[in-house]
Amino acid sequence: MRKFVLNRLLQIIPLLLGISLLSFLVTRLAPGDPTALFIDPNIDPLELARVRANWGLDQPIFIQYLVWLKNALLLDFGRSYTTGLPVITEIGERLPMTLLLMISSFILTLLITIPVGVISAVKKNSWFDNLFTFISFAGMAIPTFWLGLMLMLVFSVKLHWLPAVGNLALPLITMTIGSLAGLTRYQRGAMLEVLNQEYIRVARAKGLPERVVIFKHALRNALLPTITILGLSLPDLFGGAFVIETIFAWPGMGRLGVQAIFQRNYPTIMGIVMLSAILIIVGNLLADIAYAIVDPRIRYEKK
Amino acid sequence: MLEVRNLSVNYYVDEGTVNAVAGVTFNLKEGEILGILGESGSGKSTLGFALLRLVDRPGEIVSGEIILNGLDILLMPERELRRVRGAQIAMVFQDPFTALNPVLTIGEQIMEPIVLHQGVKRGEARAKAAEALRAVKIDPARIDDYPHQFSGGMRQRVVIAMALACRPKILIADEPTTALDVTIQAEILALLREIKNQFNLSIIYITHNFGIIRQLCDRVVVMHRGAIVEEGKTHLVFDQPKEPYTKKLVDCLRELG
Repeated sequence: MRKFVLNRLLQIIPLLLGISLLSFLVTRLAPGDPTALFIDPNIDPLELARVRANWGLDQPIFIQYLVWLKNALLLDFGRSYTTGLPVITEIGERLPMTLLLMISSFILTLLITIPVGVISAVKKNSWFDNLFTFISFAGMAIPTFWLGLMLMLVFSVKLHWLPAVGNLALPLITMTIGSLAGLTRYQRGAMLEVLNQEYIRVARAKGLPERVVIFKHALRNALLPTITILGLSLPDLFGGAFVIETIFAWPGMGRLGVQAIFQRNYPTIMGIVMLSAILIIVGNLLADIAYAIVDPRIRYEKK
Repeated sequence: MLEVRNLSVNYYVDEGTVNAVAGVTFNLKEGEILGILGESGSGKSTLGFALLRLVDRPGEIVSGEIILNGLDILLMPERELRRVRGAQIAMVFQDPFTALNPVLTIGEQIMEPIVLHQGVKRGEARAKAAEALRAVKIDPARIDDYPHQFSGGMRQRVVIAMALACRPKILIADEPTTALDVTIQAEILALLREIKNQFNLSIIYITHNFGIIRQLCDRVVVMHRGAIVEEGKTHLVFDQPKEPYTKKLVDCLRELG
């Protein structure tokens, strides 16, 4: 187990290098120039060149990358072009809000997915199952931004139940419905498959009550695919945060990222990309560890 | 010991109703090994599951009686039925590779029925599970291992230990050696014979294999298309088959050698 984790930690290094290089190139090679957005268009070209040189933008792109990398290794991600604040400070201020949204959505998703998936499988084709099948497909079909706007329209503008911005409820609901939909189907499918296994019949043949058969024998096996899907869906959570934070004016990292992209604020973009990458990689590692804890076949493989 | 009267099981599938077990009547005598012989699809496995009401949908037991100690298993409320399962009648399944839960240790799986039926503490149940492992000749030190750490033959021993854990009176064995290679088959059969005497069991042995029936069973019931076509002492059925279907089966066997 320790070797497994260590191995995975070592893999993170080349992975982060690759991600940083790619995203660096993509942001720099995209059309647009950070100086264009906030400097008087009638400015003296010499002055403009001075600003660009000050930010290092006159250097060849690979030199720019190596300079960025050298500083990043020392945990210096530069200063935001727009505010002049260190990128780390800026992200640090926003990160807790994003994590609050993500973690609460993640927990809410799990709390709903597992029981709904189990009940849908056990009571296959019941009204409950059919209702949640409908909700899931609807949830998958509806784009997040539209759902967010509609919820805002109904609950804030028309009913005045919730404020449109600055409240956790609406962004949380929007985000949860988005991730809930597919996951519930996976949990149901996994549970159905496990319930057809011979060891379930064996468990019943021992005289175990149905409750124990379902929760002890079936659910633990049916959690395995769910853990994998959860790990894989982490990037969606970040993508969702960009959209949802923008719609609900949620002062998190996602909205900061969208603003940074529009302003070609390179240092901030890179900081956010790298932090998201690290969080996703760590999340996947945690998913793998959880998988190994649940499934002894993984745990013992490398002994 | 166990009396089955007029038992019928139907499968309701899209193409219509399949009468998998069609009015089967037989009894199991104390201390005997009764063979149920039939080809694939004859309904023999469904019959085995029906004895403990373990037929899954789309199958359903439609009629009959299964009398154990004067009580009809088919009429029992769920709670009472669960006290029969594993405690009085236990089952050994066909495929040891799928019969054990991959995420639980074998010890946990053997202890489960002991804790459930005998109401003992976990420590005591663990000791009894170790004893059950010893009875099937598996090192009790492996009690905390997981199923994937055992070979097929050893897993089937674990399944047998699990079935024997509560000292049932009746064991239903559904082709327990089919998934295993021949030498291991012989070991499992020898083990079954041994534990039958040791635990004073009556066994219903379901198989398509003549040879095993001949070696193991006192009496045999021959099934064909869900019904019993012939029944009697094993050597009589093989030496002087009365029914045409049984005769054909026996002829086939002679031809094969």
